[in-house]
Amino acid sequence: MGPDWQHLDRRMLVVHPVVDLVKLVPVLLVIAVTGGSTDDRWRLWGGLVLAAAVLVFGVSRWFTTTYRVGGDRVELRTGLLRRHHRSVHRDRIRTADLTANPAHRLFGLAVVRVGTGRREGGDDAELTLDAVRRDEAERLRALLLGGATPGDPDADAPPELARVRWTWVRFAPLTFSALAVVGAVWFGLFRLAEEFSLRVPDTEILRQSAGRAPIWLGAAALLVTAVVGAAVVFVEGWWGYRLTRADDGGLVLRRGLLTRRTLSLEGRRIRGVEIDEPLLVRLGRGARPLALTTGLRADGQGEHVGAVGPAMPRREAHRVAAGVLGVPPDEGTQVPLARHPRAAVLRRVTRGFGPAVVVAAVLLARPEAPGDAVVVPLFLVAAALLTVDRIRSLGHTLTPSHLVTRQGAWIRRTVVLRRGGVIGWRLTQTFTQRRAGLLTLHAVTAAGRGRYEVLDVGVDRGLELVGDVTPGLLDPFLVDGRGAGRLVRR
Amino acid sequence: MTTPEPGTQRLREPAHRVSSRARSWWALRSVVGTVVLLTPQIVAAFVLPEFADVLLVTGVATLLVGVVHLIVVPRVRYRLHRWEVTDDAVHTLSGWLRLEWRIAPISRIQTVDTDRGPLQRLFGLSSVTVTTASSSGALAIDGLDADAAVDLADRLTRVTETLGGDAT
Repeated sequence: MGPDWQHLDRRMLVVHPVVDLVKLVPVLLVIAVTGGSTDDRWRLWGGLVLAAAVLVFGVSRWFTTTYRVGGDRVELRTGLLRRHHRSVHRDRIRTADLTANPAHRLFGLAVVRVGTGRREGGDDAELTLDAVRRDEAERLRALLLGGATPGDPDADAPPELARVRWTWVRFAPLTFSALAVVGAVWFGLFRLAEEFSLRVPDTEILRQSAGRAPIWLGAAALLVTAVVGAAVVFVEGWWGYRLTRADDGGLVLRRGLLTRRTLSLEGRRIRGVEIDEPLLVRLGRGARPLALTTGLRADGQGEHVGAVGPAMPRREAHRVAAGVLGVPPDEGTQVPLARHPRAAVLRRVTRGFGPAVVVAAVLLARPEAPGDAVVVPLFLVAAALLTVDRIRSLGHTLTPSHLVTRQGAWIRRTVVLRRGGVIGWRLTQTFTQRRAGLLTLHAVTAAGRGRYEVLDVGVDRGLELVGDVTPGLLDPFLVDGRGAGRLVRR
Repeated sequence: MTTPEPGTQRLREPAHRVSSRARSWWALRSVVGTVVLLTPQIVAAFVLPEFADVLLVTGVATLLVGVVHLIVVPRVRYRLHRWEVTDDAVHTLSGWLRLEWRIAPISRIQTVDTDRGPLQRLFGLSSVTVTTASSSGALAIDGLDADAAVDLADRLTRVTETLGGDAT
């Protein structure tokens, strides 16, 4: 017999119905506003019945939802008409995350999300306790993840890896999510404007004057919303950001202004780190640290999977990455990388700059070419700079404990993968790579994107890397190559 | 085998080909594909006589491509698709213009499946699929003799069980 079934916190009797009612407000408004004037009584009663139904359902959720944490499994029972029983084996649990939206926080509650970290679905993939008392939530998290509690200050490694600094807000407008915010805001504004222009005839004047407004005004408006919007999103998402190291080498990430999130990553799930430097952020001397962990999904906010911090100064990002890895900074993402063969550099030129030359030629060949005297050279210069950047980015190395690889110009990614995290390989060689004596090595792993490539290494070096990381794996196949570029001798 | 100097090492091909009947399977699959593409064109030619000329051209083109595909692809695939299970790992090699060598260490294997489609069954063939904890795709050996596939899957499953641990 396991322990007794427990209800969620009693305060959810209030929270669920209230939150549901708030969600219902737009619907009720629509009911109240739309339609003619034939039968208003129907409308009133309809709305009230709907609200009552939502209230009853919200209250019933508390009575029908129970959970228990047994010796070897966590179980959750839900559903009024359709009963649902879900259980998760405790030794399969990989994540226990807490979130608390403003309603939860008002009542001192938090949602506990327990996951097995498996990608494939199945009934036992995840269960959610929405919601329990804050301290109960913390207790559950510590209980379910064993040692994954914030480490004590006396431990060797400093427990706190990073803490938000408000100067980092300068990177927010440079990230892609800033553009998304701008898009969303303007889309919303236009929709609103359309709605009102149906009713307010005066907007016709506004529209006419807007038609005469200079284009730079529009650009400036876009820019301002981008900057402000990105700053707002940054503050909401990363307020109170703290990254701490747990006893087991895992991480605890806390962040959020309105919605508090606490994300725990078990140490044994972490396979390495990645430093992402999107072009704009890189120009601002920033970078973003990510942890390569198994079984982590996007959290529905469009966040980069595995992000352990916002875009921050490059040096800071490298320091965080080293902290996650548990190595000195110069042995992590900043370790000097080996260059790739000359043929790899040539391939960057032919593949990066070649198409640009073709496009430029086509542009010039057109009979009417207004402004091409400016556009084409600019285009070529940009392509050349990107190509140079791509060449400079390319690199890899092997440290005593990690495989390090870097590539990319639009987004430069530096990946540091634990040797033990490599669970397979893929060696690919295209026809042109064969002639150049190169291959692309993919290290297969359970974490992050599933595999990370070392682009265009020499065939010898590629085989050497496989042999160093996983000794003996390819030994039965090694033969004298007689200096050919071909990976496989037929 | 002589141990080569470091710096000039290359790989020999994995030892095993798939079943020679796989060629017939791929050929049949090629024919089915061509038929699937041709049928609607023929139907359309009867229903819409005014487009018959155009459809004749596309139909002949489809047929030509289909025949070339039928002649070339099964042979090439049979020649290139190779596999081998060593003490440490499962290796597969495939690809023509783009060579692809996949390695799954036996200690990292999570599941071993055999899979027989209706066409494969016709020729007594079977596929063996080996997955690891990675999301980036499995290793597949298509067109094995059905009995050999079962044996291979059994063997891999047994070895995997004794080792345990899959790096999740």
